[in-house]
Amino acid sequence: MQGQTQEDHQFREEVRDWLAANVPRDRRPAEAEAMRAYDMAWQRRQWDGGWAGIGWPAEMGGRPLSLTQRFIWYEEYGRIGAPRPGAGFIGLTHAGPTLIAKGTDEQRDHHLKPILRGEHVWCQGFSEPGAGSDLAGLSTKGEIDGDHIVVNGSKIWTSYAHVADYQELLVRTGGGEKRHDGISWVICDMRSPGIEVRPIRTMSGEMHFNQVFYDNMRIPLKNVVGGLNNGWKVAMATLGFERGTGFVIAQIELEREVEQLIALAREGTDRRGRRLIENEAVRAGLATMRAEVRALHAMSNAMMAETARDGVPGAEGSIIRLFSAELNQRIYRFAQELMGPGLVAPDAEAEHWGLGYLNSFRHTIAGGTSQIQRNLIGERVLGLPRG
Amino acid sequence: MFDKFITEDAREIVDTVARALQEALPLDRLSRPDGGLAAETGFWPELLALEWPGVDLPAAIGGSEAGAWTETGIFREFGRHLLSPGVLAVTLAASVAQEGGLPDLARDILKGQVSPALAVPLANGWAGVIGTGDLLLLAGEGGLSLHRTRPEELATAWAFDDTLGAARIRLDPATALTSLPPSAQSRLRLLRLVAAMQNGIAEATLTLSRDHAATRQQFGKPIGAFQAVKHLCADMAVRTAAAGALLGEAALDGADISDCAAAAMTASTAARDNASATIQIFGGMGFTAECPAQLYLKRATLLELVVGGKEGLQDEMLAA
Repeated sequence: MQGQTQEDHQFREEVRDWLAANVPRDRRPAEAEAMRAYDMAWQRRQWDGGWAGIGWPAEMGGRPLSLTQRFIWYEEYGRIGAPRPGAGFIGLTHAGPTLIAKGTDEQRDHHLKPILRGEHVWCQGFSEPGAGSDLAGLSTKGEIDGDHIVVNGSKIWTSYAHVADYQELLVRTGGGEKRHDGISWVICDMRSPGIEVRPIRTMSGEMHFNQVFYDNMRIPLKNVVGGLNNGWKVAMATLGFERGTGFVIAQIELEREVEQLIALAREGTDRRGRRLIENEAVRAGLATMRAEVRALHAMSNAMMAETARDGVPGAEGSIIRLFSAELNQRIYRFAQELMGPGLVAPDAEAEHWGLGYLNSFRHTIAGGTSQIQRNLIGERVLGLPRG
Repeated sequence: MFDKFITEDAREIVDTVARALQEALPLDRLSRPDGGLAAETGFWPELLALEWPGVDLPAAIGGSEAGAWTETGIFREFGRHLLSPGVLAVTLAASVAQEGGLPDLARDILKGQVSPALAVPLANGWAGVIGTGDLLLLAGEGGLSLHRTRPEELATAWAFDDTLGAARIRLDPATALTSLPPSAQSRLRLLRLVAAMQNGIAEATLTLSRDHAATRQQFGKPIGAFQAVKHLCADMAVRTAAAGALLGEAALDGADISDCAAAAMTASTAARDNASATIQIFGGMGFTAECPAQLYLKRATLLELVVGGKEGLQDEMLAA
């Protein structure tokens, strides 16, 4: 990476040593409560080691590293294969940063440290059955009743809602002329009466997806973040964080996956007994993917260095996001084909790739579909007119 | 992304080159009957006098040692302005002559006293030549070699790009003036400079497409307002960004063969796919000889073959 100093190299060593000694080696459990406990224990360990809240201000309990050092942390985190934040994800990358940016002192005091210590699980309440890519079309109602908001409606695709303590919830509290007006960002206590969580099984068989229903659920007005009817702006501030350094982990994982596939192709043989690596189609796929994961890494390096220099990430973030999502799909699709008939009754290896393949469909949908990303690139990067 | 890290000095030189090319060799030259290679080679004495081809070559052979970033940036401009692969042959032939222990020849090349052309090996001892010249730089799987040739030895062939011309010749490996293995520094340079020219092509076609999509009206609005077209442009931007990021890595000190191969491979795909998309976005105009999109496509295709084609690059990527 450009512009790394001696200090950065020492920092990398420090990160590497700490991770090597502390990353959990046992398998993440599939059962909900055990999974939550696993994710929270890993978060707690990072807190105890002084590694929680990378990039958060020190007074909020975080570790305010330089952008380069944040990048190094995530690189090493991905390289060693440390568990993803899992149930801690929304708290660490959405809700926490939003409260830092827009919350009151009371809201921050109550919520930030428990997120970092692995005590509170947060979930997101943005998408609705009728508002997916068109988030501003959300219709979950929040009626003001004295010093409370009374919520009725439903949210969907809510990961970890079944084990969450809090939710970052977008509700329509006002009329407003434009659809973006009249939305509020509120802290929802998931133990409030009137909430029902129904699990949704994903195509990969996972069960941490949910639909959440609200029936006259009451939220105190003091839980509004960033002002009543100002939630769209607050939400957009949150979405920006996700495009920061966090995705570096996913990238490093992809690099490791490609190297793993190359190793597999060198060992494995096809149905004619030929080494897979000697098959031209396999070579073409592996060589291209190896070059592309490098390109992804190089693009992120460049964006990080640019952000470090100019202070703000450019609109090019949507380019990296689209490239990354589609590359992920190409890689797992390729892996699935490489497994051949092994997929019918998989060993551990084939199970990994088969599951990865099924899960890869998520990436071009979640957090803005690839079609929406292409619109953003066309309109915000290239300046083409809106349709 | 390449642009974000180029040094101020290098950027200044590259900008000067871009302005000079814009003036001396504007794209519309290529739609005039006399505007092809003739117009370009007419500019070469000046180009050599400005020391652009030797910008990163040793001073001992007449280069100016301005560094890989400057050279990479200049060749990206060469690609963007549709300079022929002959200009690549000049730099590479000088580089190979110097690395192969023929400094006098390298000097003559940079002075313009010899006209190098690029050639790739065909079957049965034949080689395919892009354009024409009296010194051939043969770029193949076995490495790089230089061969003297006389015009009468070149058998004219149908040219994939008729603004360049093409020929076949029998080449005896034993007659090579010098030969370098695939691991030679000059081969890294070839990969990096092809990547640079392909980046220029990818960027130029993205700009052409974007501008056309923003202005060409059908059904009462710019065609770029339709997602079918907008998304083609977005994909072009993604490919261009990926190629640009790898070009930056290839220009760093210590870049190795796989860095340069990754850059050449990704940029070649970006250049070809972007040029193809541009032809599509320009519709009927895109299919005409007048539209530069087809020239970008042809140049990108030939440049990819000069670095070993898809399979050659794949071998480099999987070598380690």
